[in-house]
Amino acid sequence: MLLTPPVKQQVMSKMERGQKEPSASQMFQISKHLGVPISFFFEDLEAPKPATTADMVGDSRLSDVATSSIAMNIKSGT
Amino acid sequence: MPTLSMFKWMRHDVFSAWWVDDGGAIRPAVRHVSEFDSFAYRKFGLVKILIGQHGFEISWDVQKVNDDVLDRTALWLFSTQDNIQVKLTYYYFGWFSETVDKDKALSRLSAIRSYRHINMNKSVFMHKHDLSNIPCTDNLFQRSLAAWNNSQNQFHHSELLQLRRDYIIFTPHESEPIFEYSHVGTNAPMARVMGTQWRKSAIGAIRGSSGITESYRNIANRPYEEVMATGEARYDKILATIQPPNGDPIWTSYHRLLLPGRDLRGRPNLICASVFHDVNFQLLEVGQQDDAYLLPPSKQAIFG
Repeated sequence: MLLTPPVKQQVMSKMERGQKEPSASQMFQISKHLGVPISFFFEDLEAPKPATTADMVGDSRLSDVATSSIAMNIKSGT
Repeated sequence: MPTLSMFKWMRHDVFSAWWVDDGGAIRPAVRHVSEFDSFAYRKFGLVKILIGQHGFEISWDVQKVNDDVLDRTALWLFSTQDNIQVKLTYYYFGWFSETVDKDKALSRLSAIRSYRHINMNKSVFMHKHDLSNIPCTDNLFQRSLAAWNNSQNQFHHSELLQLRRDYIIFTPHESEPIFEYSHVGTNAPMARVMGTQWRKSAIGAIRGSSGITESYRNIANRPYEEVMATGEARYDKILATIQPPNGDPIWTSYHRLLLPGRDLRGRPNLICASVFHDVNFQLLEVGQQDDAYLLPPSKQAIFG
């Protein structure tokens, strides 16, 4: 199994040199090939932070659309 | 993709967990939240599927999900048996969850997708309701109101003491519009969400000093001030994000009753009773026509 790598050597080399980021699909294949859980590759890495309202950027009018639809639901008695 | 026969086999498990990856494959996942989950949702845009005895749970990040992954998830869901409950758990400036039937779940997957590029500028929505709107079936609020009316605003009254474990009680500061936790009941919903450690450490802390956002603090403190100033009870319906320790924000929907009074030593106090509800309104209602997915009804309502 180890003799048939999950991704092409050329691609693997680029990943090793940091020239290409692996896709999730490739990560799963590599983890299966190496016999490690996929979380192995993410240990000690800082997890991506989720978006919060404090992070808001972009079109404020569209933001109002989202908030208005919720506000209407609250007012109507959810 | 798993087939229907696979699902039959999976049903013998208590639970199975899967990732739908960006190549369209279904990959085994761990059932619990792992270190990988944040990366999966937010870096790779994957969808997680839990399969249980009574239905599925599908989780994703609305703004980060990979469109192909969502398409594959919908295809997979379409291929599954009918009459199944589907819990949709999606991150949109906080985790929402709603449980619907399969057809509704498919519609919701499409409808929620259209919110990808829309940002949320509030983390709290509140609407004041008349006390007469408290449902007769709401035992805690009805009992609290009756007890409060009998107590003559004395919080050491026996009827209020009986309900104490359901309450959070605050002491307002004399000079500043801030409120200090003086009691957090073991049965208070906030205590259950935030955990025992938070409950114990909250006593003496200022309300809003942690766990909730600045906008929440600004909006949500006003009713407290109003109740203390007027001496009247107040009933609100609220949707707000709560930030649990070491976790992502969660949208919570709850009704709240605020009751002003005094403690045994005569200090002003404020009882906060809450009842949490499922977040059962729809962030985005499902359209009746295909093109409604491009311009959902809630947007049409705004733009005319």
